[in-house]
Amino acid sequence: MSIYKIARQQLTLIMRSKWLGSFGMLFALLAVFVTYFGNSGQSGYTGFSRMTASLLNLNLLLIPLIALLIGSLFIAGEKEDRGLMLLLTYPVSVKSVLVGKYIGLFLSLWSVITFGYGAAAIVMFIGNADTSISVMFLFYFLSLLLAVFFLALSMMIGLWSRTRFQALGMSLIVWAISVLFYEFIVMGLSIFVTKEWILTLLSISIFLNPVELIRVWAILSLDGASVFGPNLYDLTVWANGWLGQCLFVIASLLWVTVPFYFSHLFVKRRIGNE
Amino acid sequence: MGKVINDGLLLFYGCIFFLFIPWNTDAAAAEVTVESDMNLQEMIDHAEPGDTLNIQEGLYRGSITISKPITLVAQNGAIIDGRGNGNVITIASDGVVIKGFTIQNSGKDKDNSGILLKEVKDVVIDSNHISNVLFGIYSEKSSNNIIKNNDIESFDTHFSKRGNGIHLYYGHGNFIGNNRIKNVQDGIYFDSNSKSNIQNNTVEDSRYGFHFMFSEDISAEENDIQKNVTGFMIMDSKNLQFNRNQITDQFHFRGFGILIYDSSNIVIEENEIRQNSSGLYFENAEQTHIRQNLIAANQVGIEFKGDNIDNVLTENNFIGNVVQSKIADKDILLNGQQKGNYWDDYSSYDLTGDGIGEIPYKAGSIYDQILKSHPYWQFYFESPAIKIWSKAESMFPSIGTANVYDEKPLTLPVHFEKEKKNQKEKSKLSLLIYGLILTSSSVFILLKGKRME
Repeated sequence: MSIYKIARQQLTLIMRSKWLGSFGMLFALLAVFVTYFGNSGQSGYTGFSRMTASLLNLNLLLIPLIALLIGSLFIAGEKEDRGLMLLLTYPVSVKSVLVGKYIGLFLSLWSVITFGYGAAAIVMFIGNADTSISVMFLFYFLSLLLAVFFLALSMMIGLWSRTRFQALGMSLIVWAISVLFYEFIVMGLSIFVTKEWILTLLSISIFLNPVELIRVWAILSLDGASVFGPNLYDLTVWANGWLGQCLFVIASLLWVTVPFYFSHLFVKRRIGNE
Repeated sequence: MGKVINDGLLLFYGCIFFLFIPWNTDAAAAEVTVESDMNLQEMIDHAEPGDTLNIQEGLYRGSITISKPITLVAQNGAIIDGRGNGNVITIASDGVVIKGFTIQNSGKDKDNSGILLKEVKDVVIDSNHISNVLFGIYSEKSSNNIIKNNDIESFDTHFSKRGNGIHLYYGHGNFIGNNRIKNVQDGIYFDSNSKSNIQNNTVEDSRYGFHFMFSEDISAEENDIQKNVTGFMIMDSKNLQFNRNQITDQFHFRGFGILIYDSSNIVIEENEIRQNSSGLYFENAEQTHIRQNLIAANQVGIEFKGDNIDNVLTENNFIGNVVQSKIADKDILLNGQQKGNYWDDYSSYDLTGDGIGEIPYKAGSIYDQILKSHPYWQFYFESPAIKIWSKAESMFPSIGTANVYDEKPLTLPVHFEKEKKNQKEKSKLSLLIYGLILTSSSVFILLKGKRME
């Protein structure tokens, strides 16, 4: 019951701020733009094309950013304003506060993403474009999953930082690393690693970054082997097999539970002391 | 006027008379039933031309030779076993019909086969299941035969120790349709063959799907070629026509969708060439006409080597190929006179409204160069980081040497008239429904969230 109330309160707080609305508009506009101008559905091919790649990149760039900013700024702000402290003095467990806030955050982000995809679908209908609906839903599902990961991370960052600005800085650093620098780092490492270890390195790198997890999962679900080419054939074989799919699911669970664990730790250790 | 009518009547009576001519073979035609304890070869030797032999269920050991125009029809479960020696069935007469058998265990020498056609014509080979043979069907200097609805499989070893599914050595006018061929060397091999038609066959898990050598005037439609080393291997041939074939998953290290070498006048239209190591490969090809094909998700979309003259590529969709076109050692113009092709990595605009971009498309991006030195970085194909990198690099004119170009690139993909209209309408309507459900549920949550407290 208390989880529900906290979630609703969180949702209402976010709705009242202008943040979500402007992000929502931006996301919907870009999604419509990319799907409308970039649909390759008419070509008779629905696999991984450069257009699906740009739609995927839009998600990979924007959703982590929105999730990190909204989540961490709100929670750090509440901490700064002592609202969170007040909440914790009530007879509710830390867990239900965390879960409630998380659900509230997720619902608000869910509505933004859902609106974006819905608007894109309607524009495609009006524009007479025919796009594969299954591909659209795959992307929708993976976008939500990406939001799930990064909201958990954002909550952790929000609870870790002392001020809003610290949360903002930290969020931007995490975003830049996970979306941009991570790939360059792995590419750099692959130059120094001997040939036998490159596949291992790349395989491990998938699971250490939620953005990579979603990116690789999306590509494999679309048509896999041909995108990564003959050199990475072994990787695509195991990743598409049941072992790979299991690892993807386990990694997804870990990317939610581990940040939750740390959030819990931060609340218990730090908030009491501040 | 009257004379015309008379002539017409005469023709009419002529036809009637023609129908009632007591043809020799027809008069003598008999239906003979063969049981599994009889000697099949003896029964064939005793049959009269035109007879039909109904072969009952059972295993018939030993090779057979047919040297008169008879029909052999298997009841279900009739097996002819060559005992691993020579050809299983040798056809040495015109007009033989072989229908519904399981044919197995040929020898392993030279050109041993399930069915050998030896300089014959008008033979029909229908609905047989041929397995564990070197060659499936070997047609030697035979013409006007029909080979349809057969299942063909060779030995379970490496393809270098197998024969071809259907091998046509000289001869002309053969029809090959609806056969399912797998685990052979080459699915269908045309050696100096001409005027043949191939429809609706599938070839899987073999070396080449179709292999053309010194052949001409052959058309292939709606065949499904997948998981071989190379889809169509075309060498020293001319006047070939390919329509609506699917050539997918030729993933071998040196695998090609369609390879054209030293050939001329090849028409390739409305085919789907997907997920091959190289989609199209041209070496010394002349007067090929490549139109309205989907060339997608290949490692390399199109590749050129040597002198390629008078080739026309027009209205093809090149989508999501990791390398769209390899840079060649000579200048290559990729477009036809009126229209070029759609390239999904082309980014310019159509200002004049004719569907053609104003800046030529040039093959070879910075990413192609990176891939050459670091093939494993294909893991980051079109990823955010690579995208930003290549955007940044493309601002410097460091690699402006691309000589493979399309002067009339299309800005929108070509729409092929393939799918049924009904289905499309349906999917479009569901797009609207999904869109409405998604937006309204999101708005519902937004409003509910706002209204609280």
